[in-house]
Amino acid sequence: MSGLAALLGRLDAVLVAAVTDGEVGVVRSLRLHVGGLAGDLPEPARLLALGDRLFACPRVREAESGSARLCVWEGGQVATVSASPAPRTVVVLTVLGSGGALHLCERSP
Amino acid sequence: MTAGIILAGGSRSHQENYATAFAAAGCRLLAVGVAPGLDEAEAARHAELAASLGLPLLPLEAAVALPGASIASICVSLPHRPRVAALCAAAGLHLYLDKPLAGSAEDAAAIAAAVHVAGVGAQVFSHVTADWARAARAAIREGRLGRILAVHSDMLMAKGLSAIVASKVRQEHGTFTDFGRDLVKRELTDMGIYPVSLVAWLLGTRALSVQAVTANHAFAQHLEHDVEDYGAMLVDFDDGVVASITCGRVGWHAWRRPFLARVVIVGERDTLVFDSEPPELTLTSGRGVAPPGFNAIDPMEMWLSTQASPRPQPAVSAIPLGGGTPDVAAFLAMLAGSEPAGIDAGAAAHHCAIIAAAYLSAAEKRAVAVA
Repeated sequence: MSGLAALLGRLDAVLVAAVTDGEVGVVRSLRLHVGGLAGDLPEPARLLALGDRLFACPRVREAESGSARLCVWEGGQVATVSASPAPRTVVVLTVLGSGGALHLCERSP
Repeated sequence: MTAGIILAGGSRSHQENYATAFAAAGCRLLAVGVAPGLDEAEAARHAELAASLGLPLLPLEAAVALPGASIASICVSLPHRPRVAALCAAAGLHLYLDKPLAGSAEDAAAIAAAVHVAGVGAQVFSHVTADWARAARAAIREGRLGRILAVHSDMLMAKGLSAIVASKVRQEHGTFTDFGRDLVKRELTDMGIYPVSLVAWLLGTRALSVQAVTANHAFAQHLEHDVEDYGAMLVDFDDGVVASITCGRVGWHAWRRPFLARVVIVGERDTLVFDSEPPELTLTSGRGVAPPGFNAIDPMEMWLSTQASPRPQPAVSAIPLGGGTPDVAAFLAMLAGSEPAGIDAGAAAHHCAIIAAAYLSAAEKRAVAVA
């Protein structure tokens, strides 16, 4: 498993746990950009699947341009995600909730 | 020669900030000018600002004619901006303009045209004169990233007391005339203009089309007034670059400072991240914190079995190192010919057209061409 895949796996688990535990209140939006070597890079669709887990309701609108995706869920939640090849791991994340937020800005040397 | 400033705008607007910045830059605040046609409440705020600054309150036509007046700082409510900007430009004053330039693409274009006809200097408040934004543009221009493929930018205003609002999809309106002023503002306009102007400025190209959504995520006041507190968009630029943007007023608890502005620039060679976080010292201190107890067999806390549990944590605080170029100072330097311009009125008009297209996209749930 690549370093990026491992990081995203840990991130997924920690995010879902934090949201489930109510750390940020009612979760409202997901903003995620992932950069990494082309062979390790997840598809934007996989990044949106994180939104499915966080928001736990059906999607109602999707838009895309290039490697970016914009998605709305039934409860009005919004995800804006993107993935692009980069020579190093880059993960920039913001999850906003009604009572808090989760932020990550990780860029490997 | 010291610039003489006419303030067109009142208290509880960004004029409070701009007046302070012009004074700090050594300019002379001459008067608060009240434009004709303002409602009673807005005119009263002009009077409040004049009183608080100890300045004369004059009709705007008289204020712009004062000896020594050279700059108008314009921060009236959105519907009045075209008329006030045209009056001040026609009087030969340079214009420092609050963001967004206007509430519609048409009004913004009218202001840009008035500036062009009068031949005066004009700058719209933005983040592009900040050190971190300039560093981002330098990285692009120096070729460190190679060809630019995508840009992702956010502007989150971490202020306001949020609440749990109804969980449903917002139905946006494609056009409107009420922009909010006192209790709430349309945040796709008010916050979205920052990343829109930053991204367009970084790329130096025009936007072609927009796909956008708006939402009510954080504030009961926004929901009550049927205006959005959050927005997101995908913007296609004419050189094939895709930008994604998120913006909103997100509540006091969402960040450690009043706001977070950020841009991720994806190039063929590398991806770089720039943000508004200031350089700062991190101060850790035992002052006011009970230290770990002394353990004679492990005084250096080397072993798990002999460490205090839970381990006391030092107090942590940050000491900002300052820096950055306030936008007003950059405007004055531009007028003096010593610095490149920030966002001029023509560029700002295009940015307003992007925002207008975003509202239409959010309302009609489709991609919309930027006029």
